[in-house]
Amino acid sequence: MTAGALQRCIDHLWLIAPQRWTLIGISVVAPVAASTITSFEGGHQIVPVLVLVIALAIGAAFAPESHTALVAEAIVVWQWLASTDDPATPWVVPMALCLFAFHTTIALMAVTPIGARVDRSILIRWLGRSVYVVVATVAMWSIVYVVSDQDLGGNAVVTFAGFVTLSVLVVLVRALRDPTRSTQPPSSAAGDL
Amino acid sequence: MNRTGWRPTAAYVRAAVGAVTVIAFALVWRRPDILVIAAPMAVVTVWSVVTRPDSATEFADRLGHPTLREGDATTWRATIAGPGGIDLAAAVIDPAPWTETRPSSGAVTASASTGSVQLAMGVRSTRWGRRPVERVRVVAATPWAAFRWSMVTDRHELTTLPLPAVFDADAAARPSDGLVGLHRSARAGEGNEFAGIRPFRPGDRLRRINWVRSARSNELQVNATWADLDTHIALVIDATDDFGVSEGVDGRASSLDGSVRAAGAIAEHYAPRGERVSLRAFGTATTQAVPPGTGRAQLRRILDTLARVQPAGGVSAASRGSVARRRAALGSGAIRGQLTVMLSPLIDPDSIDLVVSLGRQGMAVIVVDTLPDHVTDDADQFTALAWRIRLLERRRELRMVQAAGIPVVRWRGPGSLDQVIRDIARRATGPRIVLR
Repeated sequence: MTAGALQRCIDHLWLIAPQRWTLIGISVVAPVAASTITSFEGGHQIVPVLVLVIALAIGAAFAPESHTALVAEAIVVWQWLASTDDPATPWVVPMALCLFAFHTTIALMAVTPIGARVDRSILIRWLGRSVYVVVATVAMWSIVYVVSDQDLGGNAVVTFAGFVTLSVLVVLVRALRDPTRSTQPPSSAAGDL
Repeated sequence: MNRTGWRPTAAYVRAAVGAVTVIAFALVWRRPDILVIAAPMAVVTVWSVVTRPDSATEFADRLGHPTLREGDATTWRATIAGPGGIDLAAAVIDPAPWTETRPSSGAVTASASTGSVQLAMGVRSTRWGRRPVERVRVVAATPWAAFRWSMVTDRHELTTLPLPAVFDADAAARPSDGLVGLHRSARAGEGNEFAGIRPFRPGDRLRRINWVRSARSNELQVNATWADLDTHIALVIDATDDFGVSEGVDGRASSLDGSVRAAGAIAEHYAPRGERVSLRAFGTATTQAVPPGTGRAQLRRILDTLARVQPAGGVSAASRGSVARRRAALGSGAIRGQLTVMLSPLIDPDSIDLVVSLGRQGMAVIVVDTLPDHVTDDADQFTALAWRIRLLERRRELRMVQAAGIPVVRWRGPGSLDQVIRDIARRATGPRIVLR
């Protein structure tokens, strides 16, 4: 790295708003937590995987518009598949929510400038939406737990049908209650200028 | 107005690909726990598809005020309206010299309300001139940042008028209400205000003869009057180069900053009081001149012209023209004022020659030295040494200018010109030798 490139990198870091550092912190900690939960559930820690996840999370945090985050998520999911056998373990819920937190913070950082303070109303709105996702995830785990408890032979089709039904219900409820989905003609707002 | 489409983001691809792939794994490997991991991504994907924008986007932006004074601020506003699924918007302005933004990062965000987003950012100009407000990159997004719409705005023209320095002048402050301005002419001539008694000269009107005084002195004496001519201040700005550092209205001022602000101050003092003020700048890339006039409209014209002054910079001396050509251009009208105030750093030898030649033509010229003190502060010791040598030479040149009867004063704000204006007014009443 040349001195000029290093200086540009330092200048870039200097421009980052304090609030964005918080988002960067969440986006790094969340996949690491997901990987750690997976290791805890599987009974052994794979250090190279953890290091890889940390590196990818940092890369995704500083390049949120890239597909680095997708690679990080894929590695964590693969780690879960490879290291756990219990289909009804409750640890899958925090693991899934950690991945969701990672996805959401990266998505928010991708559309906001690095020097900007994200408006409080935006954060509240996104947190409110996240509650619906958390509810859907817990509901999904409940279905999986019940299906596993009844020993229905791991009927994934039934589970998938339940998931689809739940997702559609959540979206419908949210769409009906979201005040931002206005029916006002767009030209009227622009004409106020 | 600009219309562009919405396009899916990496977040949308991540959620959709992640959900579909993980669900496929769950079905193929009969792992229902994997469905729990896929659940958040699946919900986000479905939510994103449902709220996908389905109509064109309307965008409009404007600058609150196209003209400001130095140090003043205005607001850039933008409205994004159209698709019902719009969730948030962000804007970033490109940095520009002498332009500050509020917030200082130059980036703002806002959430949507009733189908539209309002963005606002404060813009403060800290130096005079005509500079555009730089382009603003605007981004709008749907819930979960699944789809984004972006554009770059056009530049908005912004004219920053110089903030005139504090100035006041008491010289020649004998107001005569019958004249156009508050200050009487400094020349004797046809008029109403009594100036004194002097011997009769051929050409004097008979009704001006003071018979009482003539009877006592045994020779014809006439009542002399001040000319009925309002004061004409001709401002001449040397914009050949800009020396020193310009840090805007809050910091150090360059030589051109000093010249422009001092000219603005003098114009703001005289023009609203009914005195005729004209302006001409030389050494600029394009000719900048304002013919004589009075009043606030004239002040505004002068300030507008001052805001357009740009040093010629790279333009060679040959292309700028000789001293004779410049003198001819200046002498074409605007400079034939009663009082010519030239604002110059007096570094260019041609400028010094011009001042001396104007003085030798019999014009009342005052030179305001606007070279800043910090000009010798340079990190390079050789540059600093070169400046010190040049300033020594300049000191000798200034002595020559003063020896030619042209006062050179430093700009100090109120009262800077009082003494020299009084001296010129006194000198104007006496006989003069003019080189022809």
